[in-house]
Order: sequence, then C-alpha cells, then structure tokens
Amino acid sequence: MSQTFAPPALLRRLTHDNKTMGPRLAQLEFQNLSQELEQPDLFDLALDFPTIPPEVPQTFMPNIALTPVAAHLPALNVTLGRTAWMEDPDDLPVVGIWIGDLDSTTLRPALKALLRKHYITPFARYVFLCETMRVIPFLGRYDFSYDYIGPASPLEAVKRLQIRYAMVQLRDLASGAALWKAQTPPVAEPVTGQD
Amino acid sequence: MMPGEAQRRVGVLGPACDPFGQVLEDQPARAHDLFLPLISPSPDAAERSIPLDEILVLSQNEALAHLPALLQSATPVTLILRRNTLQQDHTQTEAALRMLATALKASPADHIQLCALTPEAAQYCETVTGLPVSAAPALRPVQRPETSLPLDRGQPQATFFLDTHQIRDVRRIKIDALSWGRLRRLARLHATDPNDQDLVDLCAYVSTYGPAVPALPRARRMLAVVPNGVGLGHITRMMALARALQSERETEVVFWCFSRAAEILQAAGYPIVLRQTAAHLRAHPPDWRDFETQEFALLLQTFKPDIVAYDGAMIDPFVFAALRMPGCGTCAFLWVRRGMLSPDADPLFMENEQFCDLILEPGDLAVAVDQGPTRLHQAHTRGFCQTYETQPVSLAVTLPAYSPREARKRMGLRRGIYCLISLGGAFGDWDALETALVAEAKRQKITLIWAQSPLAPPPRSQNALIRRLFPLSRYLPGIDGVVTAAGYNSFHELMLTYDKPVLFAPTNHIRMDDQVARASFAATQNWADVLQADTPEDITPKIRAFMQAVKSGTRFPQRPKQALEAAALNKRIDQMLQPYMGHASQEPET
Repeated sequence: MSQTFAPPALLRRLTHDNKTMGPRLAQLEFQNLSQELEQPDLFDLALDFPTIPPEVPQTFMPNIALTPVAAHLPALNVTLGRTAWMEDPDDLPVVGIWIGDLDSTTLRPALKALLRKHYITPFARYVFLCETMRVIPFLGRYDFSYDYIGPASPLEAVKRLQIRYAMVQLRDLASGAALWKAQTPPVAEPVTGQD
Repeated sequence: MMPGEAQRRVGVLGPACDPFGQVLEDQPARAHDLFLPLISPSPDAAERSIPLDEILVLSQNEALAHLPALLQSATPVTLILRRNTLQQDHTQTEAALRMLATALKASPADHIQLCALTPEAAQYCETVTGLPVSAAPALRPVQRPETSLPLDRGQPQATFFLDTHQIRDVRRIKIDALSWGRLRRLARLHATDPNDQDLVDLCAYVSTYGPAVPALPRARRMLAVVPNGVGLGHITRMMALARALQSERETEVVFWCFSRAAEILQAAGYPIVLRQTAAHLRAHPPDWRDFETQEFALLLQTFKPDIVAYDGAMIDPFVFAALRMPGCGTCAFLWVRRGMLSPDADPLFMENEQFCDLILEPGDLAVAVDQGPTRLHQAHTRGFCQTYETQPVSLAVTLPAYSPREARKRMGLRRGIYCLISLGGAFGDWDALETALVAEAKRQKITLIWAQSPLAPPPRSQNALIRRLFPLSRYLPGIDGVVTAAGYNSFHELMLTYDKPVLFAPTNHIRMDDQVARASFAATQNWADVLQADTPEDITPKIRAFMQAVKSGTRFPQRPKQALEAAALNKRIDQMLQPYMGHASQEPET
C-alpha cells in the first residue's frame, strides 16, 4: 500500500460531495418510489402453483424476548431508507409501522403519504411490521427495514422489536394511530468532550 | 410446540459449547425441555419476565463464580460437578470442589442438587466434597457408530479414519465443530489423554448404544435456510428439493429465509420465518449474528427438525453456532452446494464441509467444463461429510405446464410470434444488448416479452410488454423463443423442459457461477446459442440468426432429459438420517 492515510483534502471533498449528493440521490430515489406507488398492480405478484394449499401452516416465530440473554444484546441498526437523507440517521428514534393486510388502493396512498413526509423531513427510522409479504420486495428495494409477523397481533411483536431495534413507538400505517409507545424512551448518552 | 406451552424452561449457565450441555436433550426426561443460555443466575428486570423451571450449572467453576445468586435463587438448581481437565489439574479441581462444598455446607440450600457425569465421577466428587452427589441420568441410546474418533483437547483438530464406499479415508475435524449430540451419533468418542479426566467422563457418558431404529416414528422435518442471493436461484432450488422429498414421504418443511422473494415460498405452501441480513440492516455483523444464533436456536428447539439444509456457497456461522447450543444438536446438516463456481473463487468456504453430514451437489449439465474449486479442490477439514451428486435439480420439471393456447391466454397474448427476454437485473449491463434485441425483433416482426423478477423495480419503458409470473416455466409452451442469462435454474429449466430456440446471454460475477462456461458448453452441444461479451461483433449476427430460428419454429429435440429422481434423493437422505434415528426411546444395551 502506497499511502496509509487518506489525504485530508480528499476526505473533505468526499464529505462535501456526500452532503451534496446524498440529498440528490434521495430525491431521485423518492421520485422512483413515487412512480412505483402509482402502479395499481405494484404488489400483485402472479404466483401460479398448480396446487395452492388452502392455508399455509403457521410456524413458531422465534422471539428473542423469550431468552434471558436478550437483555444483554445491543440493539441492531435500522436503516433510514434510500428515499431520505440526513447526516446522522442514528440519532433518529426507531418507530414501528404496522402494515396490515390492506387493499392496494389503501396501501399505496398510505405508504406514499408516510414516505413523502419521511423524504421531506426524516423524523424516525422505520421498521415495517408486515402482516403479509406482498410489500416486502418493494420495501427491500428502497433499503427499508421490515419484519414479517404474519397474522399475529403487532402488539405481540413489540417486546421483540424493542430488544432487537430499540423501537420506541408503533403506529398503524392506515390510520396513523399510535398502537404502542415505550413507557420510558431510551435516554441519549451525554456527549462528552464537546461544548 | 410453542415455548411456554409444555416445554420446561431450563436456564443453562456455562459455555454454550460445553459437551455436556450439548447432550442434555438426549436425557429422556429432558427431551422436550427448552434450554436457554444464561449469563447470570440473578435475573435483572428484563429477565424476570422469563420464569425458569430449573437452572443447570455446567461446572463447579461456574457455580463458584455465581455462588451468592445460586444460593439465593428461588429456582431449583442442578449443579454438575466435573473432574479435572488439562487446563485445571487434579489439585485445582479438588480445591474448587472443596471450596464449593464449604460454601454449601455453610449455607444449606435444599434447592441445589449435585450431579456428576458418571457413577465413578459421582463417587469421586462425594469423597472430595462430603456431600451427596448423584450420577447424571443415562442418555437415550444411539446406534453404535463404526467410526472411532480420538479426542484430545490439547489439539485443535482431530484426525480419524472414515470408511466411505469401501474406501478408508483420512479425515480431519475441529474438535468443537459439531455438537456432541451429533458427534455421539457419528463416532465412538474416546479421550486420548487419560489426564483429561473430564473428557474421559464425557466420552463414557455419551457412549450409550442400542439397536438400530428402522424409521422415524413421525413425518420428517426439514428446516431449510435460504440466503438472500442475487436472484431467485436459492429459493427455486430449495423448493424443488422440498417437493422431491415430499413426493415420496411426509416431510414438514419450514424456511428460514433471507430472500425478499419469500412470498413465493409461502404461496407454494411453506411456512416462512423471514429474516433480514446484516447487510440489509447495515447492522454490526457480530451483533446481528448473536440475534440470529439465539432465534435460530429457539426455532431448532421448538420445530425439532431432522434435517437442517442450507443452499448456497457461503454459510453464515450463526447456523453452526446455533446447532452447537444446548437442545439443538441431534439433526443432520445438509449442504446444498452447486458446482460451476468461478475458477477464481476462493476455496476457503469449502472448509465448512466439516460441519456437514452430506453435501448435495445439484447436477449440472455442463459439469464437463466445471473448473471451479468444488471440482478441483478438496477441503482440509472434511469431518464426517459425504458427497452426493444428483441429476439436475429443476422446479420446472415437477410442475405441469399449460398448453400453448392456455399459456398465451393467461399471459394475455394475441396471435403472433413471441420471444421472452429474461436477462436478470442484478449485474448485467444490458443496454446495448437490449437495443440490438429490440431492433432485430422489430425487423422480423417478433414481439418481445420482458420477464420481470418479483425483486426488480418496474421497467423504465412504458410501451414494453412485461410479464411478472412465477413459476415462469408453466407458461413457456406459449413462447416461441427465449433470451436469458445462464444461471443454474434458468439454464436447466430451459434445457430440460423447453425445445424451442434459446439464446444465452451469460453474466459472470464473483458472487455467481461460471455462466459463460455453462452457456458455451450448451452451444458446443448444439442445445442453444450464446452471446459472448468478448466478441461484440458477433452479437448482432447471432441475434439475427436466433430470431430467424424463432420465426421458423425450429425445435431442439437433442436437449437432455435427465432430472432429479425423487426416489433416489429420498433414499440418500434417509441414509444420511440413519445415525440420527436412534433417538427413539429404547432400553440401553447391557
């Protein structure tokens, strides 16, 4: 390796480029997302198996909250998604958004409204709790975090997601209503060494 | 079974890889217990909501480290006393046992039971401590394995002889690669150093043998792990294998799936546990791995699979870490690993063979040109694994296709000639190719249909004819020609079930297989034609020739027909499971 450290000038330029290009990239991604959400068949995947079972058996969804070590695990990162940009997304709280088995005509506008707000002023990092898998490829394309919970009540998943992602709130996508809020939100660590 | 319904919750205090902890589920009375690792016996606020029925402490050293909490515990405690190891000699062991005994005598605690691995060890511990010590309950007998595995905790690897197909093979394995629940079913274990009395005790404790059991008393269970992958290859292949297994015997299959296309599996009738990778979440991989390990272990303990299967080259270590945890270690591991990797691929991933019982290599019609590491390299640590190469695996072979008329009707196509374009969206730079295809199709009055992956974004062009269908193979009779990438699934689906013109546009990527070699082989066999990126001057003439073949209705009857045989697969899987069938309740041999 010819150089151990990157030149400070290069770092400054890349940081500047990142601050410039980050919002622009998010804008372009949001435009794509908006266009996708205009398509009525966006979530309709034509799956055609000759013998479709009447009902898929549910399996046990493993739950870290059932294990004593859960209290000792650090929470995992939750992505901001590619349609929004900010310098320090880690500072944003993690909010769960429950997506029930909604009709496409309800689902698409609701998602668009939420993600438009998210694009303009990101105020949270979202974990989408999904009752069905229809929306997963779409959410994945834009780097959102999700959790498939099936027909279980979203409230049953709260404790697990509190441990896994430090989730502080759960809201219903369709109504916007708060389904759950953490009683004592985590307190930010005091910043040391700065004024 | 759901945790909390009927399972006793047993907190296990000690190293997750302790051999005694790894065989606990073989104690008949503990067969349905849920074993939960403990970091401390004193519950903090979060742990209080997880009541335990018992705390099991795996050694006197762990007990001494947490003695005040254990003495005050309201939960019954079983404390396993161990004899000396290479690291803790006879004198140190006796000192620890005496210290523990002094503390227990000073603070009598009826809720603490002392236990040792064998009757001899129990007698020794009683003599040293002056307290009653019982021998651990006998384990369920397993078939007596033919292979003998010498163990020495001073050596990181064990070397042994394995008889495979009448050939005596020298094998190596890291001594902590497999849970002892699996090890005791695969080999007779013996300690090479008599000074490691604890290892001698462990080997004696797990050597409980009985007659062979002919079959499982219930449906087979498979937990299939599907990585994220580039496209739908892992999902499609595992579904084909699951269907082949289910076609011969009742088999319950659950998918632990990282792919965003998991809906496909669900639509085919399989229960899914959907996951996100560390890369998806941009999470710190070790932290993410801790979550995966714990939750995968919970599923192992509740679903209790006979087979854990993984499709893909790179197996994340969480799978093996979970399989070594208490209550998770009596199932076989099946590695579905296709060949035709890039010749430049690092063969280090093959060292995971030591964790496997069987490597199932889905046959590749182009195997003759396979120059990848799975063909030319052998792992250093192969453990007990064996290899089974099947005929090509293709979901399409197992699914009934529509008639040409019905397929066209379902795709909403009118009269005319249609060519399907399925280039895969992940890595190819297809702009020039797409332009050439569109121009030539227009010239020859052929309509192009663009296949859209469920993972892909909607197409840019508003005028293109797009179909998003799965499984696409059912609709192929309504299509007059196909231009496609040459991944394993697309290649074999078309070569095995389709007889009209195919033009391959292979993509080579470090994460993918050697598509160029595979497609070129098909061209040499006159099964299809191929577009080579390094000869761009040939692209237009080849597309023109292909479109002419499509237009003239050319057929390719010479394409091969051999595909996976479900009966042969089931027979081989049952052979793999044979050592694990000894967990039906039996009387031990005297």
